[in-house]
Amino acid sequence: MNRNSKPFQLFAYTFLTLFAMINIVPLFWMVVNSFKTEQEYSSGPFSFPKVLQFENYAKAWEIANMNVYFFNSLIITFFSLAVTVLLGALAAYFLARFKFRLQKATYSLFVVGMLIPIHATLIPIFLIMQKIHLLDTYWSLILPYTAFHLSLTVLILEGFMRVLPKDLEESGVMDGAGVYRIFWSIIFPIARPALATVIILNFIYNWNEYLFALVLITSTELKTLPLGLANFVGVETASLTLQMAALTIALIPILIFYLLLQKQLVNGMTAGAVKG
Amino acid sequence: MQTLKGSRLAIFLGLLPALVIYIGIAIVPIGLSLYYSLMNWNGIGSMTFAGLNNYTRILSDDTFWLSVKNNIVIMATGLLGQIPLGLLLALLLNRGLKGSGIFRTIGFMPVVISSVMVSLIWGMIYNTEYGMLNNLLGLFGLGDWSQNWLGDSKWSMWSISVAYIWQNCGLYMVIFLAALQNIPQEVNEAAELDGATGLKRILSITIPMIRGTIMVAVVLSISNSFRVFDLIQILTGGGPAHQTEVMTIYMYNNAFINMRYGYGSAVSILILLFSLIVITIINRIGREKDA
Amino acid sequence: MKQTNASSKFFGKTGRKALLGLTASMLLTVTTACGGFAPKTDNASGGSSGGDGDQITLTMTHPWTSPNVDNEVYKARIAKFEEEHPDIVIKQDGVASEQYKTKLRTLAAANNLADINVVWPGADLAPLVEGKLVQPINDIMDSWSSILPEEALAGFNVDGQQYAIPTKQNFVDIIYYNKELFAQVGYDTFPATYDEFIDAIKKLKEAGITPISLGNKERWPLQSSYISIIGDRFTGSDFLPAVMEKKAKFTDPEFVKALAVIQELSQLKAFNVDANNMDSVQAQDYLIQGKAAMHISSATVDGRVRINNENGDKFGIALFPSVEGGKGDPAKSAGIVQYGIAIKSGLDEKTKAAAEEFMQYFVNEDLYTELVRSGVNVPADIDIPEDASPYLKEMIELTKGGTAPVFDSVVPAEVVDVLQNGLQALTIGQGTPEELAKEVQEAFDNMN
Repeated sequence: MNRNSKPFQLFAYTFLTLFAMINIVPLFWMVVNSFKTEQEYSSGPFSFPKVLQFENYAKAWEIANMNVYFFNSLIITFFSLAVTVLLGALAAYFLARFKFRLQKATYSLFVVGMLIPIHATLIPIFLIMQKIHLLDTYWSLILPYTAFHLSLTVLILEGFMRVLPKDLEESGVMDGAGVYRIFWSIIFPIARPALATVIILNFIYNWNEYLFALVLITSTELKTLPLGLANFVGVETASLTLQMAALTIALIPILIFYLLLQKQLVNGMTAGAVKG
Repeated sequence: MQTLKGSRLAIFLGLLPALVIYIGIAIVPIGLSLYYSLMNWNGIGSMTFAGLNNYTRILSDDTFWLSVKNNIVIMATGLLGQIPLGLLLALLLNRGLKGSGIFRTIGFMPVVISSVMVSLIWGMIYNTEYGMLNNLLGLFGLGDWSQNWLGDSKWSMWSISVAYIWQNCGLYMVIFLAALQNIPQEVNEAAELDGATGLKRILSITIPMIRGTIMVAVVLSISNSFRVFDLIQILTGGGPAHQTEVMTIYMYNNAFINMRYGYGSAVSILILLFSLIVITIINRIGREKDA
Repeated sequence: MKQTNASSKFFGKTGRKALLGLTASMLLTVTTACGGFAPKTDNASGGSSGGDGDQITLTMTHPWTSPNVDNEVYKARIAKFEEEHPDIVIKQDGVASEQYKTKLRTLAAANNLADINVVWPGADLAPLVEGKLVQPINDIMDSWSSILPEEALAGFNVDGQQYAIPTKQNFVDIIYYNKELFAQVGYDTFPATYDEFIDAIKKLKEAGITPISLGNKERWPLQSSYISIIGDRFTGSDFLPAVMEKKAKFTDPEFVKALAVIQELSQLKAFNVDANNMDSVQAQDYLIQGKAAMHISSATVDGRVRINNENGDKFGIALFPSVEGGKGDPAKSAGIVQYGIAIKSGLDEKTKAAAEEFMQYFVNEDLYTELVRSGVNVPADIDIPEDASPYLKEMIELTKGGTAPVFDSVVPAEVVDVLQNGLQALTIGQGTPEELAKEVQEAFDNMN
């Protein structure tokens, strides 16, 4: 692999460094601004603060009610993620490894979900949640998050599972294992790169979701982080430096999670990839 | 394809939970939207049947067609920007260069952060007074090139497209990277023996090998482009004067700001329809080339 | 299959077991321990749980989340009420103000309003009344009749029924100006006529100063802070109600003249170039930093421009100047009562009594006094406390010449939307005032 010529290396590193700068520099200023006073920020966003305002973070934590919302976001994110991935993997397994009537139709049905403009479903989902008495509970977010991300989850996992070699399950069959046992002890572990992919994507979407959380949750004790992050902006007033501090805090868990899974992620993307 | 013959019951039970949640919470609401789209309803109080009135009114509204045009801009720039750029990055990062891991992580960062943050960042970059971009141009003595990037309708859609590409490019980079890593070493070696190197090898061997992946990326890119909302809503609010409005914003404004819920529902059905048509066409083209 | 160490940690056999165990135990502990998973027992009448024993829970939706002075006053007041009424619990749902209306409308669509709501007057209130979602409060009006003048209540009064009580008086058309910059171009006082106003703008422009900072990304400023008052100067205050009753039209020449003012200002390049992609807060900053000579916005903004600003005395306040041949009274300011407190309809007797008690406690003289002390204008006739900010006293003085209606409090949302987009178009040189007036009138005619 290391047959990269000098001119190529020069080009590659220049290009990649430029690209990295474009990604990192704005984020850097975001973090710098989160340490400024509101006045310092409004008189110029590209200056360094005289004194680092660490208390911005304390204030942001309080205004965004993170004591409570952080925990709720973690619960809802992980819970939706677990449900989506387990159910999605199971569905993908049957769609990819079995033949049955309506198989194609079922698969297409799942894929259509990628095209639904989710804002349109806001009021209908509200009405449904009201009917089944789940309004203002964790379920009122877990269910929509699951429903809307099942599409991408099934698409990627099905693509991965379909191209797995046919003889994979044979040893299981010979041991007399049932289909669910084969799923759990053979397919599920092999699909780990694809699973890592859908896990990180689900985490990102659930962690940042705002609109459904806004409408479906009313109790302060059940609200999620993105709602707290909106608390800094009024109609005629705003505390942008505090908001940036809050955004920075909210970024940390997702970064940690991504770094933990990123090796899997690169492998996993092969997943949806191979299928056509 | 299939290797197992599971009992029908097992298959049914395996698909059931996912289908129940998915149909109940994603498909039924769209069905309800379809129903509301035939109604005159302000979201409160009683509704009256309107037939296809909402649809004919939408289709004769210039603003709607402007939003369709903007969606096409986002779709096209998304396709032409994200996919080649993602592919190029993936090709570079697949060469075993030192520090690839770091570049990969940094490249994926914009995907991870929320749209609110992306919008704040690009607001800072495009600001006319103190914005990074205009400052940078000034620094290189190109002060004349400074623009009102988001406010001038000549530039606004393009500026938004750049932010949109920035936000999503990393996703495609990772997708392609994975596909490239999957190409067996022997294929490359065989190519080399045939004298195919550099650009020629990439065009004649690598790209065809990952065609399937490119198709998936194309479909993903298109479906995402029809759903873009937060980024534009926060950057420009669809303004000035509808210039940067896309269909989702048009729908949101009608349903939730103007309180024409039936009308807004009809827009959302049209969005679904349009994206279905485009995806179907793309799939056709992709399959024809397969044959 | 490649198998890395890290991956087996996540997905290896033990890992899988652990994952399953973790998920299962999370499911169990969390669902049982956290209330968040339990379905709410809601009685048909609404979100309130009626109460076990003597405890009554009232739900309340409000937009008071951002760290503002007046928001603190409201929240403190709610806390005090709970302290003095141990039998009543107020369950608050604070929603960021930008999305508050979206939430309120979704709740209204599902007939699921909170027991106590914060509502806007006029066109915003109308659908709630029409849908019979809010409760008339005529029975308890005695509590306020002595301190609230009729104008303050009118916006919440539909067909003789009172539906809400306002907490705050806002004037949306205050011109904040930089005295030093105006002195530089020869104006020691703010121009009194439109011609002088335009003259000042030209001179500022020549001096290389941005005359007006405008942040119109959210589109309401040009409509609310500009057209409300410019329209009033030309048409007089009876015009908008007359249009609503179809006795006048937006295409009447006076209103077109008002729209033409925006066009003229744009052609003079009176606004900062990025006016359409700044929000109003950023536009305030331009004024505060001395990058612009004027900014037109609501009285609330005074908190940021002068009251809490060390250099606040640099700035003066004024109203839009008189226009030649205008039918309006140049002493008037476009005012609106805000944050009406309304009770949901159809509550059971006990809950309703508690909600009324809350309202009477929450909105009273003490609240108004407290707000004034923090520099917020109120709709009530109360004595201004000695320690109120001199800036607020100046504001009260400036705005006492009568109230003109605010455009979007009278005109329905979908018509407002057409105007707002059209005004943005005028600022970028698209369309004409005549065409815009026609579009706005058409939007209104198409409504029914």
